[in-house]
Amino acid sequence: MTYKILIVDDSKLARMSVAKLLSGLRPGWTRLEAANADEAVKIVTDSEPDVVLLDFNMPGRDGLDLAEELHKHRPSMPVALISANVQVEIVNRAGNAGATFLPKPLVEEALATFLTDAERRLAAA
Amino acid sequence: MNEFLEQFLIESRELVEQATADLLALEHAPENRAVLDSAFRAFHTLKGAAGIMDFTAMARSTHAVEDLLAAVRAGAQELNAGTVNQCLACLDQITIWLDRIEAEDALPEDAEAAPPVANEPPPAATQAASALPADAIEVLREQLALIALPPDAGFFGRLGAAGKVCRNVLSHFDYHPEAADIETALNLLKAAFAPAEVPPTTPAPTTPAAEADAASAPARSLRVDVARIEDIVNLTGELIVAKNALTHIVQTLDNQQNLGHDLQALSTRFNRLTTGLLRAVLATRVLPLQRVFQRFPRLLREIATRLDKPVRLVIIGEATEADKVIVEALFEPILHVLRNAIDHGIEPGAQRLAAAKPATASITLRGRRDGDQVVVEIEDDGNGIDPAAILETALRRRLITPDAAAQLPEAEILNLIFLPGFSTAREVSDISGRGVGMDAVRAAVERLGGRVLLHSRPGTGTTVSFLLPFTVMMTRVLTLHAGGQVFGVPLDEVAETVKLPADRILPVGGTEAIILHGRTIPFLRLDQLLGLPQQLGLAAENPATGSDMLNAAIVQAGGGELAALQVDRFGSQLDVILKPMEGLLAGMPGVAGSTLTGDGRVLIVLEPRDLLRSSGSGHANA
Repeated sequence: MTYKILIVDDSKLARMSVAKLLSGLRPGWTRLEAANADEAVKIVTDSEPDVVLLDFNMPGRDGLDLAEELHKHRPSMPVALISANVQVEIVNRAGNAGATFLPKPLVEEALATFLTDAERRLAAA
Repeated sequence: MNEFLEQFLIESRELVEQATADLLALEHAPENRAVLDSAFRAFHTLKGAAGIMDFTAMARSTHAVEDLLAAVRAGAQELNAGTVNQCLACLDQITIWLDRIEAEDALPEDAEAAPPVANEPPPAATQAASALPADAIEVLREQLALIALPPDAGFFGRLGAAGKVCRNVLSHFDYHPEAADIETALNLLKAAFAPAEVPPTTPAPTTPAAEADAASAPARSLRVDVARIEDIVNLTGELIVAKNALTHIVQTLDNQQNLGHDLQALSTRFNRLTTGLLRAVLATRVLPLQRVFQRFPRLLREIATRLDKPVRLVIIGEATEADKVIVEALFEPILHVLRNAIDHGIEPGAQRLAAAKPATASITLRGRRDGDQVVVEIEDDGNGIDPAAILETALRRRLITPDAAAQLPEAEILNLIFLPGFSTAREVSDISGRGVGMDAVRAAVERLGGRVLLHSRPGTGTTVSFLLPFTVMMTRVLTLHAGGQVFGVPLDEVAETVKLPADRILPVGGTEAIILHGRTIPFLRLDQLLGLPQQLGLAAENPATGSDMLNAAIVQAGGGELAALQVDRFGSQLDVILKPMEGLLAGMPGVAGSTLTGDGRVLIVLEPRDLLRSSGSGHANA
C-alpha cells in the first residue's frame, strides 16, 4: 500500500533531505511539500495526505501549533514533529497532540521506525 | 554542483543575510523580541542546514551562538556590542566557508581545524574540569527524562539523540571513558536498526514526487545559468543587427514596387517584435537592488565605528529590480558616497548637539523605479554642502579661474565636486581621502549609462541620486587608432583584422582596392574618411616600396559587401554601454554612439556601414 506524505519545513534543503530519505525508504509514496503552516493546512485540505512530517521551527506558526491544529481535525492521521531542540516540554506537547517526536537532523532509522508505525496505524484504521 | 550543496549555499547565504540584518537591528533595539526570535531562528536553521550536510564545524559554531542567543532570550545574558560582534564573527566565518564551498564545490575538509568561533563556554563551565557544572547536569537530566517517556514510534530516535547529547557533554568535560561507553551503545543501536529498516532496493525514479514538487512550488520562478541568459541576450543583439540590415534594404527598395511596400510592412512588424524581444530578454537578467544594498549595513557600521560617528542606515525599496550589470556595478559608487556622507556630511557629535539633531545620524539608502529609470538615492541628515567652501577649494586647487568662479551660478558650484582632483577633506582621512573622489563616482555611473545628481540642503543634509537605465545592452567593441585618436567599432561589424604589405593596394579608377580571399574590396583610410590629419610615417604613400606593412580592419559595408579600413594600429576589445550621441552631434553620420572608457575618456564608436555610405565610398555607391 502506498500513501501520500506531506513534508512541512521552511528550509528547502531540509525538505530535500527528508525527500531523499523517503525516496530510499518508501519509493512508491507520493510526496507533497509545504514551506509553512498555512501552505500545509491548504494542502491537507485539498490533497488529503495520509502522513505528515512537520518541522518544529518555522517562521509564523510553528510546527507544534500546526500539529495541534491537525490533530483537532484529523486525529487519526500519523504526524511526526521534527526538531533539533530536544526539550521535554516540546516532546510532551508533541505527544499530547498525537505527534511523534523525531530529532533533527532526521536520520534514516528514526524515520523508518516512524513510517512503519504509521503504516500499521493506517492499515488498522 | 550537487543539488544539495547548491541549495545549502543558497539557504545559508540567505540566513547569514537575515541574521546579519537582525543582529544589527538588535544593537539599536535590544528589546525587540521579534527580531531576537528571528535572529535565533536564523542561527537555528543554519545549524540545521549544517547538520543535514554533516558539516560539523559549522554546526558547532552556530550551536554556540544559538546557546548565546538562547541565554539572551532567557534574560541570562546581556545583548551588547560584544555579544553582537561574537555573533557577527560567527557569520563571517560561515561566509568564508560558503565562499570556499562555492569555489571548491565541496565542504572544506580542514574546517574543523579553524578555531570554533563564538564558542566560549559560560564562565561556570571553564573551571569545572572534574565536577560537572550545574547546567551540564541539567542537560543530562533532560536526556534521562526524554528516555523515560513512554515508548512510542519515536522512542529509538529519541534514545539515539539523547545518547549523542550525553556523549558530547561528557567528552566536553573530559569524562572520556563514560563518553566512550555511550558511543559503543550508540553504535549498537545503529547496527540493530540499519539492516532491519533499510530496504535493499536502489532508490527508484521518483516521477510522482517530482511532479508534486512542481505542483507545490510556491513561486513560479526558475533558476537559469547566467551564461545561458547572456547567450540569449547576444543572439537578440545579433537579431537586431540583422533587423537593421533589413530596414536598410527596405529603404533602398522604397516605392519601387509592391514588393517594397510589403517588405516595409514586414520590416515594421520585425521592428516591433525585436524591440519587444529585447525588452523581454533583458527583463530576465534583473536582480533586486537588495543584492548590492545588503552589503552596506555591516560596512557602514564599521566606518561609523572607526570615525566615531554613530549612524543608522535605513534601507528602502531594496526589492526594486534593475539589470544585473547595473546592480553588480553599483557597489563601489554607493560605498564611496556613503563614506563621503559619514566623513564630510555628518557633523561631529558636538555640532549635532548644538544643532539640536539626534546624536545618531541617519543615512537613507533608497531604491525606486521611475519609468524607464532606476533611481538610487543616498540621503544623509548631516550639514549639507557649503557652496562657499566648495568654491574656495576649487580656486585653491586651480580647478577654476577666479573669473569663471565669479560668474558661476550658485546651482553650478556644487557640481565642482565632480571635477577630477577635487577633495574637500582638509586632512586626508583613511575613509574617504583615497584619491578617488566624486569624479570616480560620476564616471562609474555614466559608464552604466546613468547620471549623478547632487542636492544639498544647508544645515539639514545632502542627497546624491544615481539615475540609471533599467536595462543595459552591452556592445563589444574593438578599438582602433587612426589620425592620432582612438575610435571604437562594434565587433559585430568587423569581419577580420589583417596586416598586409602596402603593395597589395591596387588603384581602381580614382580609388583603391585590395584583393582578399579572391574578392576585390574597397580600401580606405580611416583618418581620411573622418577628415583627420594624417599621421606621418605610418601611411603607405608609396605603394612601390612594398616594404611597409599596413593594418586594416575588414568591416561590413552593407549589402553583404566588405570594405577595408586602414588604421594606424588596433587597440583592445571592450564591453561597453553605448550612449546615443546628444545635442549637436545627434545626427552625425557614421557614429553609433559614445561610451566612457575605464579611464573616464569618451570613446566615439563608429558605425562603418553608415560611415562608408555617407562618404560615398561604400558599396551603395561603389
